[in-house]
Formats: sequence, structure tokens, C-alpha cells
Amino acid sequence: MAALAAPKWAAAQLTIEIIGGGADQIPITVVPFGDEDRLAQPLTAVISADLARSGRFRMQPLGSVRPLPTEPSEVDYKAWKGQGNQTMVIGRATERNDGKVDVRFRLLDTAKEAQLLGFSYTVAKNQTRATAHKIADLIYEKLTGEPGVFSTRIAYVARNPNRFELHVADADGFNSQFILAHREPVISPAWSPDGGRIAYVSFEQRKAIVFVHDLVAGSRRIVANYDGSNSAPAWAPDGQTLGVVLSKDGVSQIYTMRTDGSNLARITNSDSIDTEPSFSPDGKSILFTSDRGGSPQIYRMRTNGGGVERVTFEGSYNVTPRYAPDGKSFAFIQRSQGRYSLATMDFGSRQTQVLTDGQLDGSPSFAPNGRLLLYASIVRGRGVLAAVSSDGRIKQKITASAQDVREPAWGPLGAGH
Amino acid sequence: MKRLLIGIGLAVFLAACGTGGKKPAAVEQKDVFAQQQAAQDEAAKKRAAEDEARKRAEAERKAREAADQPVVQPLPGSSVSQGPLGDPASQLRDPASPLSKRSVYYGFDMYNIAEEYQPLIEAHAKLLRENKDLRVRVEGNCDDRGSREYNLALGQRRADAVKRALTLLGVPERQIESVSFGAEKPKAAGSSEEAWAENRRSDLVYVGIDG
Repeated sequence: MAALAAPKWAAAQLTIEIIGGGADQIPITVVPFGDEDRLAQPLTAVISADLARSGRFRMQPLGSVRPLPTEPSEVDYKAWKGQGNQTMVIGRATERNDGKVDVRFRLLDTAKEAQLLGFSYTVAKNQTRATAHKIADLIYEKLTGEPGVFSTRIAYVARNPNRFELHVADADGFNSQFILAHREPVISPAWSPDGGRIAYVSFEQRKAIVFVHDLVAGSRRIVANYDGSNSAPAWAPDGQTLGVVLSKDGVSQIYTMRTDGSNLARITNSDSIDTEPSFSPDGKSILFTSDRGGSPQIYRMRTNGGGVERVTFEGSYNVTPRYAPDGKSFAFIQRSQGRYSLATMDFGSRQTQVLTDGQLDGSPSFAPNGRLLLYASIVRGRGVLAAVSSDGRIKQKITASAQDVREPAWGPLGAGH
Repeated sequence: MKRLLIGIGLAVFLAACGTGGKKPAAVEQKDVFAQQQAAQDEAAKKRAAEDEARKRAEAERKAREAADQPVVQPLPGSSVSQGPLGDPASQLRDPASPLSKRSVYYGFDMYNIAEEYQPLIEAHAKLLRENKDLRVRVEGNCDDRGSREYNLALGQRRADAVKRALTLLGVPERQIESVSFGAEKPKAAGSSEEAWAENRRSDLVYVGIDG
């Protein structure tokens, strides 16, 4: 039976560690926040882990300068500069009488002896972890110019013996909860652009059917259950339209529909397999996989199905296209000499860059800032997740407590981006 | 079974209404409920007796087969018509019959039905033509390499090709459903050539007989 939110037992957690750093890392020192030892959810470790895991920062040691400052007035810039510390994060997290927590932080430049950022918050006790992620986002954005993704969520499928669970977790792997559990498989989770819904394909009725699941309400509806297989849901950026793949008219073809399943329209028209639609961020194009040319390759078309253009030409198997968030490139899976690995192609140069040397890599999913790609792999017969930066330099290893994990999907940025 | 119970319940209720004076509603309800319980018990006993009878018949049939005598056996409670060789269920389970084979296997990335499976397709088509109420579900599968969604589509193509072959041999479409499990329900575990070959497969699953 399908189960909805609030599991009874501790759900599968993911541990994400960086195993290869990027070039041009920004040095940063995170000084432990004052007063936070009394909190159930301290912030310093979460902020440090977020920044370190991104691969964009070189975490500097605290050295011997004491006492550790929590306010700008307490900072001895000369001493810190003398140690080699450049950018610093200081702050405090104090529990109030009413049970709420006052959090304040500053981002300081020791060379300029100036504050780059400073914010204060008053939050509920159980929101300090989320606040730490928000602070890491602000620091990341200030120093790199890109939005941080530390406050985002990821979805993935965990397989334990005889049970498939669709999980939603924080981007750092914590707070994992399942929204669906069944003995039949679930595949292809896809986040709505506003992060409030997830579409997926469930085999609970012994065939592939597309569901849209409302995360807040904890309810779901079937949007496609036609003859044959219904699969590969993809959201248009306006959140109003879904692309799906249906085999009801004789062979797998791409259709669009409203997100409640109405207004079905067929947009591909071939005698071949057309599948895996991915909408461009401007909503005007769709990348998809088709074997109309004799082997599975990637094509692009307008959202009404016109202007079909082949995009991959090397090798005999290029599948699973995913538009990058800036629309200028896409990620995909290529097979070369029997090995399936993750690659990207830039639309301007039409150059391919191979990002992994995996044997059985699949299911790429972009972080909403386009910087990282989450993907699935099989290692020693077991499904694992991993991440790699879009330039291939930063690698993350992800360890799950579940036996087998697959089908990752990175959720969108929160409101305000 | 439900219809039987509802029928009995209704009959009892009507009978209760027809016995002269008005009984209070609660007692009527209880009567009806008690009668329904009795009917259920009766039905359960009947089912158990039927099971026993079927088991005995099966044992007798096996004994007769061994003695090389022709076997004719009714299928209890089913509207499936009797074919010239006996009921479909026993034909499908007969290891000597081509019908006992339910799977078509494929080369890598292929979905066409190889020559060697033609007799199998023909045998199943014949069974379906001669038993109008018999329904089959063709389940297409793939090995686990490559895109899950592309494999789902490939599995569907495999199942659809078998369905088409059956309809070309005169089986009405309404008797055949074709679905795909892609690479999601592998029969053989692991990443070896043997496992992959075993998983590139369409299965013919008879509804109500195989599951």
C-alpha cells in the first residue's frame, strides 16, 4: 500500500562528502558561533559542511588567535590577517526566554577590515538547521555570484528488500522522509518548478502509470493511465504543463497535458521510440531521446512538436537529456565501448565534455544553480548516488543507509530566487 | 461469491418482510445478518468441499495420465469453453505442450520475434482463438543497462510486437493486454551476459491462471 508523509521509523539518510575539489577555491574561516552549544541544532557545523561540500571554498583553520570573536567589535583583524585568514564568518545563536533563538552572523573581509554581509534572525528552535543553510546560501552567493543550493531538497528512490520508497531529503542528505512506499517499483521522480509537487511513475497497478503528488497536502492523483505504458513526466517551467510519454497509440510518443491530466496533445509523430522529454528554461524547446535515426540519440524540438533537430551524432547511444538551468547546455548519458557515463554538451560550441568515467552511470539531475549534477551509478551491484560539478572538477560521494538508491531528482530553489 | 451473498441477503430480507406483522427494524437487521453469516459459512464449507474435490480430481487425472488414458476434465466455476484437448489451464501446464513455454527472448536492443519462437506464438494464438474468454497479458522486459525510460519503451515495443503477432493470427485484440516493466522487474539478478540475456524477454501471462 502507498504510504504518505510522517514515517514511523528513522528513514534512510544520505551522507555526502566531497572527494575532489575545484580550482580557484575561495579561502574562508568559519568561527564557531557564540552560545550555540546549548542548542539542539547548532549552526556552525552545518554552515561549514555546506560550504566545504560545495567544493568552491578552502576551509581555513582557526589557528591560535583567542578569544574567538562573535561580534565585529571583538575581531582583531591584524592578528587574523597575520595568520593568513582572509574571509571570516562569525556569529551567535542565543536561546531566548520565550524559547525562540536569536541568530546573527557577519561575513568579514580581513584585508579590507570590513563587513561584507550581516543578518539577524529570530527563529523557532527547530528551525536553526534551516537557518544555517540559509546563511550558507547568502555567503555562497556573496562570494561566488551564484545562488546557493543549500536550502534545496532532493528526491530519490531507496530500495530495501521487497520495498521501493520515494524519499525527499535536504540537499545535504538530512531529514530524509518517504512520501511513497510500495512493493512495486517507482521511477522517474520530477519536481514541479515551485517545489510543491512531485510527478513520478509507479508500477503499483502492475503497469507504468504517472502520478502527481502534492507534498504539502500529502495527496496524489493519477494524471496518465492509458493503455500500455505511461511514463517520463517532465514539467514545463510555468508549472502548468506536463510532458509525458504514452505508448497508447502504438509506440512510445511524447504528449503534453495540463498538470491535472486534461488537454492531452500528441507532439511527436514518428514510428520510433520518442521519450525522456526535458523542457528548456524559457519553455520554448524540448530535448528528447529518439531512435528514429536507427539508434537512440538526442533531438530538440519546439514545444508544439515542430522544428525537430538532431543534436547528438557521436556514438550509437545518447540518451536522458537534461537542460541546464541557464539553457545554454545539457547533460546526458552516452554509451562508449559498452560503458555508460555522464556528459554535457554546450549548444553554442556543440562540444561534448565527458564528466565521469563510470561504467553504469545514469539519471543526471542538475542542481538549480547549474553548478552540480546529481546522478545514479551502480557499484558492485548496488545502486549508489554521486555528484559532479558541471566542469567535472568537483566530485561528491554519497553514501546511503538503504541497500540500494537510484533515480535522484534535485528540487528547485525556494521562493525569492 | 458476493452476488451469492447479496442474493441470499435480499431473499432473506424479502422473506422477513413477507411474514405478516412488522418486526422492529433492529431485529430484522439482525435476522438478515445472521442469515448472511450462515450463508457465508455455508459458502466457505462449499468452497472447502470444492477444493477437496478438485484435489482429488487432479490426483486422479495424474494417475490416469500415467496410465496413458485420455483425460477430460471440467474447469470448476469457469465460463471458459472446453477445447478439443481439454481446458486451457491444463493445456498450459502440460510440460509436453508448446504452450507450457511462455517466453520470447531477444538479442541486445532487439524487439523482433525470432523464427524459433514462431511455433510458440502460433500455439498460444490457437489457444486464445479457441477460448474466447481467455485473456493474456504480454509483459515486456529489458536488461538493466542504459536509460530506464528508454528501456521501458523498448520493453513496451517487445510486448506490442508479440501482441501484434497474435492478432495477425486471428486473436481478437480485446483478449490481449501488452505492458512493459522495462528493466524494473528483472528475473535474473546481476550484471552478467547470462543475466542480461534472461532479462531481455517477453512473457505471456494468462489472467486468472498464471496471475
